[in-house]
Amino acid sequence: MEIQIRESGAACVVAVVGKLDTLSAGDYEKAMNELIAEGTTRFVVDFAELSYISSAGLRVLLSTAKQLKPKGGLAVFANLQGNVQEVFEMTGFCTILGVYDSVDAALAAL
Amino acid sequence: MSQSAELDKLEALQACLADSARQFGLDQRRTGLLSLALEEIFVNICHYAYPDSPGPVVLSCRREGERLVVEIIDRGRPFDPATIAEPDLTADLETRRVGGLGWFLVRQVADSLDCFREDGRNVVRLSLKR
Repeated sequence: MEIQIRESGAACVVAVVGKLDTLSAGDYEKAMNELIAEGTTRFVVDFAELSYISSAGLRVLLSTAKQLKPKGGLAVFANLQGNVQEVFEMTGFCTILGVYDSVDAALAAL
Repeated sequence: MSQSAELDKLEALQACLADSARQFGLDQRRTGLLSLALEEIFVNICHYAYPDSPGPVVLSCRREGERLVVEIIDRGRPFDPATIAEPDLTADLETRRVGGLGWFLVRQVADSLDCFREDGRNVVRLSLKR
């Protein structure tokens, strides 16, 4: 799993490439925690190249979102594909997390 | 395939499962979901089955008519799925917890799901229709 970070105005676009599973979820959490510690509170997480997410992945998405809320921050998600979209729908995560069709749409929502 | 109940063995198990799914003719989307179910079951075993040191996990796949039958077997502590909390899918962000989601996903993916104990082994058997 690879994480690619770029800045867009005051927000960070975090592209997650590969799989978010029990083995890689910790790395995502670590990367997000570092960005939050550095002061970023607005994120678009780009899942265009994410092929797979398990409950371990969902766990860290949720814990990051919960961490941001009291800081007045927000993480929204863009470009969900195939199984990832399906898992979000099955678990109701598309209701509790903002999901958008593109990074631009997600940035506009922040 | 038999592997030790350690998380870094997950990929080998998923590769084996993907091979069987391909041979069975399962489509890409459902193979991905099946792989997810395997992770959820395997991770549960890694966390709970063997409190002292990792024991074996056996993955077996076979075709039964139009069904792909997948069994994941361990020799660990008795597993009772009735003890797994049901996730609240309607909870909002503040109250939402992740507990129970793994097993919920397994139930969504499988066309049929059986869990039973036999000869000191826990068997999780799921099947998917082609």
